[in-house]
Amino acid sequence: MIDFNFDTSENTLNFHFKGRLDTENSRNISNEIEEHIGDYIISDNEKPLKIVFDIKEVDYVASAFIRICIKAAREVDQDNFALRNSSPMIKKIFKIAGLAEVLNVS
Amino acid sequence: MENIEQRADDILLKSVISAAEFQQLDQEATDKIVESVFKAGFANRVKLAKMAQEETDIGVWEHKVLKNVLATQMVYGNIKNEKTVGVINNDELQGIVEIAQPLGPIFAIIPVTNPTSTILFKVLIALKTRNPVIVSPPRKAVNVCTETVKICYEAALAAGAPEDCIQIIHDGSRDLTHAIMAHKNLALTLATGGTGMVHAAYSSGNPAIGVGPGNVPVFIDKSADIPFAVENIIASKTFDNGTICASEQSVVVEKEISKLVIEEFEKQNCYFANVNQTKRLEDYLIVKDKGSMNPEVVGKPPQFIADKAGIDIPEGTKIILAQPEGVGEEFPLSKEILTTFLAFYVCDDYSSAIKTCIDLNFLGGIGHTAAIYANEEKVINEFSLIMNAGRIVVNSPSSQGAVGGLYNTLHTSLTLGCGTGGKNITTENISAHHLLNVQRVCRRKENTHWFKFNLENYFDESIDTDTLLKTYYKNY
Repeated sequence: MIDFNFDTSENTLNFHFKGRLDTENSRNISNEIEEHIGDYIISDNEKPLKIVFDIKEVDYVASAFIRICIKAAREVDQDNFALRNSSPMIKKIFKIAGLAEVLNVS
Repeated sequence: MENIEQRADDILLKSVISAAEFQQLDQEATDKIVESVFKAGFANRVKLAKMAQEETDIGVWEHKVLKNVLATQMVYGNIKNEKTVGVINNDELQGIVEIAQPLGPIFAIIPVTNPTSTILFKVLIALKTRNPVIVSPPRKAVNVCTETVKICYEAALAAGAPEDCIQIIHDGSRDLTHAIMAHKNLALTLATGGTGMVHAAYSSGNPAIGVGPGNVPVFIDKSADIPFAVENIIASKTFDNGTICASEQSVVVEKEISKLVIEEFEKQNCYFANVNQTKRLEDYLIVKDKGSMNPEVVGKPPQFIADKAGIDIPEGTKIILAQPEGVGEEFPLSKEILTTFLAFYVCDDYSSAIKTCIDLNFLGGIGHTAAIYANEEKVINEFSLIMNAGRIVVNSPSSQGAVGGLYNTLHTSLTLGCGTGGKNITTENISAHHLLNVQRVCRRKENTHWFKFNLENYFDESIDTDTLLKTYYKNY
């Protein structure tokens, strides 16, 4: 199972994940993430959108989740997307995929 | 060109993301995927063999079934208990721990002669080592390769494999193939096929394990059981109508036993062409301008060859043999011809027979495979020491012997290393362990000689080598 919640602060959408982001779980949350991002864009905020994925307590990421990250990052400027609090193993996963810098993984 | 590069980028992006997910799987999860793919491939062995034969018009479907069995059951038997994830070896005495890391995306080039079996084999060894695969099918076998990949991929996904762990490029142009081979995100090309393609893989700037052509001589020694030898050679050369690159190309015998060997081949339904027929065979089997085998003849039965060459052969002929006058470019029938044809050489004595085998071995087949039938250990040893071949197959069919698992204990493989002679890094039968980066954790185990030795001695040129070494290796 995956625990997933969402909050906003100013112009930043914060997504918090906990657990295993395998293929099935990633697909289950994919639409919801897209909707939150879509809502912000439609609301026509003046400030540029920032998206933060907090993966502090995530111990597995499937390629489906990596694709969610790529898609979300494409909605904003490169500097305005970040993956925060990754474990060393998850950091390595994004390095292997060649996406650690593009997705601002820390 | 931009489009090609974009396509290569897209394919490799999927593959590296798959590699990233794969990295997180443990041995148990990995083995579950491999077992699932093995079972699916094995269950479809007949369907895929028939499809391959129909689409390519090469070989014999029943033999392709057996190749699929080799590539699944035998390969799986070899690798299923192998440790390929995490710590794979711990030598406490030496203080060395070995850890297996995957390589990353692997590009699998598939030959038209063995399309389904080569895919099954390469996919199994790649998944066992947590590496995603991109399959490049031959133009004449795209449909059956697509079906094979589909079967493997669905089985892999059902067992929890990462998405895109197996991809296929359906319309692989030469440009796209080269773009993938040279892509920065590719880890390795596993190239099985013609010399040009293998050379392209090696020239790409990325690591490659490539296996090119062979030109397998088989020497029947005086000490051999002649009927047994002939029976085995026929079984090997007729297997899938001679499509395996490890199949015998030339039989070499001494004059002393040549009559017996010829009679035995004839007795076992093989046909020796006369001088006129030999010329016709030469004109048909070899493309004159290129000096290489006519692609149309690959994996064809003897009657097909006879009809096309315009010669009469007895009904039920298993193999056509001819006696070229020598070995080399000017004698085209001495080259590799992957069909139901064998060159036959009668030599004056043992020494000239071995020299003929050397000539054949070096004519496009260096490093690949050689075969011998003998019951004298001395002869087997002499032959083995002088041949330059990754596999010297003894008293066994060369095709089925070289691929391992049936007639010997070699690793079962559809990719046979040919050493530096074949521009390969290894002479081994390629298997899962070749697809790992093994990293070694080295605990402190001091070299007592080094730490006892006065290192200042190394800077003193007046001390001679023997004295230095004696001091260094002193037993305290």
